[in-house]
Amino acid sequence: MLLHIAKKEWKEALRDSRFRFAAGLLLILLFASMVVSYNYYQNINQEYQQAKQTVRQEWEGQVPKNPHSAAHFGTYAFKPVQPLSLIDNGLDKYLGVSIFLEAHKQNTSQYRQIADQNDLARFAELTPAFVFTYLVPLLIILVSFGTFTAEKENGTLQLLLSQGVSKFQLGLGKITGTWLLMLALLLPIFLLGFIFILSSEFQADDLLRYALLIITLLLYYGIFVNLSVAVSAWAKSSNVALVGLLGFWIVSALLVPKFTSNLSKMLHPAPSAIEYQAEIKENLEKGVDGHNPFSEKSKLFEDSVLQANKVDSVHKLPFNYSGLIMQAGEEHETVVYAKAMKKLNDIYFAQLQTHQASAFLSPTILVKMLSMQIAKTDLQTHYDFSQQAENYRIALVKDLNYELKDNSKYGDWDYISSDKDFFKKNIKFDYKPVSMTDTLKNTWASLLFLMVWFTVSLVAVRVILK
Amino acid sequence: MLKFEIKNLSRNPFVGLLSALLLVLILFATFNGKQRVDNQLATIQKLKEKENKFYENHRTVLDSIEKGLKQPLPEASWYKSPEYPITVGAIRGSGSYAVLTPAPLSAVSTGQSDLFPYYFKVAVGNTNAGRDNDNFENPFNTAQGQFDLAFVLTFILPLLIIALTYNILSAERERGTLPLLLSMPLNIKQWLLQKLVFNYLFINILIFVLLALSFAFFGISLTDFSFVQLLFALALYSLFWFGMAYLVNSLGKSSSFNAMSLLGVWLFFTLLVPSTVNMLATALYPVPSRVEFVTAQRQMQNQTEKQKEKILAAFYQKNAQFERKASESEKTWQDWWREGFAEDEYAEQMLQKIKQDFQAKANAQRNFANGFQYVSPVILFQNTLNQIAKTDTKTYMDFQEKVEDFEKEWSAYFKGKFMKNEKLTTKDYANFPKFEKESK
Repeated sequence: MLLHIAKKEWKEALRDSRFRFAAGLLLILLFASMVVSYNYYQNINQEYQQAKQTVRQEWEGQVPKNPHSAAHFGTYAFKPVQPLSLIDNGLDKYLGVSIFLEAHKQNTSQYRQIADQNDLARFAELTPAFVFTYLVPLLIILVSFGTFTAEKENGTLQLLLSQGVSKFQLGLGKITGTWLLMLALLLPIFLLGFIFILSSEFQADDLLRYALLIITLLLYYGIFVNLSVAVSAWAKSSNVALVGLLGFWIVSALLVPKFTSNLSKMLHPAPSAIEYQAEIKENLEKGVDGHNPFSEKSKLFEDSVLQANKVDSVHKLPFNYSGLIMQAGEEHETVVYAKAMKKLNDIYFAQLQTHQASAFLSPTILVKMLSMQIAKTDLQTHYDFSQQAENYRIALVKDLNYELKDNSKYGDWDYISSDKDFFKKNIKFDYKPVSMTDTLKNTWASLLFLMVWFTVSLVAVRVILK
Repeated sequence: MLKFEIKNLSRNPFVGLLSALLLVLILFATFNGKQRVDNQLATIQKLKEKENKFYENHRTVLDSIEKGLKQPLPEASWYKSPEYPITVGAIRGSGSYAVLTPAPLSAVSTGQSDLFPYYFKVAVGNTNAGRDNDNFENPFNTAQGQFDLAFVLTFILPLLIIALTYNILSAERERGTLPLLLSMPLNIKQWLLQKLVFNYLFINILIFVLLALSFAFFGISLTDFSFVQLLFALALYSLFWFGMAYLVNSLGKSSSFNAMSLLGVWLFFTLLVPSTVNMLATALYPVPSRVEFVTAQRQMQNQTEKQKEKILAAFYQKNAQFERKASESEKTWQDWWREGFAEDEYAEQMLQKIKQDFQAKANAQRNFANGFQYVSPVILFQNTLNQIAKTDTKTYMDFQEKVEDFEKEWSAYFKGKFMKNEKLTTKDYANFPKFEKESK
């Protein structure tokens, strides 16, 4: 029975020229955005791989110099490109592509691509995720707003019900039909995405992620299908149903996300760059400064080192004191920066939670957040990358400072490592991608939220179609 | 007729709802914009104070030295001495802020203000090496966009116009009152037009009143010419949407058809055209990624280090008045700075080429995309609002260019004095280069 009704829905939709037009347009958009995204992914991934190599080569081939000067010369960590970014590039364009790693400070990532792009990028970007999250729901509304109202207006509803189908059964049939129709429509695109991911530098976990992304989307579409059928069953005329559903889409996709964007800033304001740096500066001054041996803290540190080694002057130490104090300063600076970064990230996280909370009005924002989290193009993945880059920086600078401390004499700033391959032997940056477990840990609440939406929308259908 | 329409309007519950909704939206949006501008102004205030404090402190010390009340600082503490151009023009902590003051109606549109900095610290040899002008807003929020007046007027207003007008004719039919209307001695299209013109005037007057109230409440200039521009742009923009409503209504189809078509038009102009043009622009005029930019920069730094010998030899040949010291330990702080400048100049020359190349490509893409703004009134209107608020890309690009010029002027002044071994006097302090006052 269910399938009969579903089949009828399907046939009717396909007969509708408006639907054919809209669905055709959507498929073209999806296809085009997939191809363009894939191309783009290939390009930037290639650039990334090359840059990673070049920067390492430049590090290894740098002019021989004092190890601490090399730490100031610094190097770069580049953010890897995620295969799933070809479906959802998330915040990639709003986050920097590289972090400069140097002695004494943790830098933020630099060069947001959005600032180099034309102004239209601010309106909307035609990515598969954009079409999936914003446009497909509109197609669902288009195909199902009149599913009950049209039957009422044509008088066929009574006819159907007289054949012994319950209203709810009829509703379920319509829901199944529309949902399967969407699935059939999008299946070729999902497959295309699958092929593209297979031909990118993917890992097994990316396939799992892709599957999770598709499940999330199908659940999301289920919500829109349920709501459309519910509203159509409730509304007196097609016109009312349509306007109501479009209104919901506008609220969910447009109004709530922007509103929350400002609300979250009001609730959890981020510091300005000036305030942020002033605080860091203040905290830095509370500890050892490797480049200022005359500061109070540096003096204290010097005394403690002298005492521990039972000598009366830094010249008599069995190692180069400069390397030691540089490292001591570095360790203090690291803590200060880590704290500041964490504080900022906590604010961002609280803001994101505001967005998540706003999802009771907007399933769209939920899916938007989920899809970038699953695709690893979200803020937390970026933060994780920043942290890994920072850990690498700490390890590298330590290497360099200890080379100075252990192998050179105090005051010898012309010191160059006797090992010609010293820079070649320095630790390499090895990025570990965010694991599926971590992603699930970060997304389960949103996934659950989405399921609640689905259930509630189904209950709404049940209540209306009693 | 007019009387009847007014009566009709005042009885329509939707109109009351619409006015209330618009009032809330406009107030919230103005508040957000005002908040952003106030934050900017507060930051600018802080910057000025910071800068003034630095230079006032140094000037006071110098004044005491000139009057013989204080001894000049010993050579070892050169970095604290107010007499040296390097101390007040190049080292960390010194420098002058170049600031882009928000325009009177800046609160109207966030525009590109969340991407581009509105101030730079300028000192010798670098523009904002401290990078204290980063935007620390949550990138998720930046990507989401702001709830500002530009958003309300560009995106929401057309939706409200659609809601107000989509069923003017079809509702009459669906209610069964159309035959009645047709029996009256009037042209139905003319009747529709009259109704729309009336609604058009109503919406524009309503928004004018609400904007004026909101601006007055938040203390935003109502007398600035750009406010008139805003109203004019708004009148044209809403005219387009009423025109669309007229077209769709006059087709004489059902209410749901009208709603769907008008929302389709809205989607087409607000989302599809911009995103498709953006896709085309990025595909046809790709901007090389910054990843390449960064690696090129890195290679050049290494190159400069490798060429150090050559660079310095050339420098000492050209500036024979300076003697080249044989070893590092013999070098004075002046030698360090001079050699540093020579190397920086070499690096800067090479970097300039990469930067220009990059900028040229980014601009090509921007120009291509801008050419399409006339295809969609939505893009055109948004761009106009950005221009009125002076938060458009061009304003920021021009600002950056001016900052670069200022940096050259600043560098020339302090480097020039340093290379001539001149010491600064309190008179010089009054004549330091200044970033020109905001000129139009």
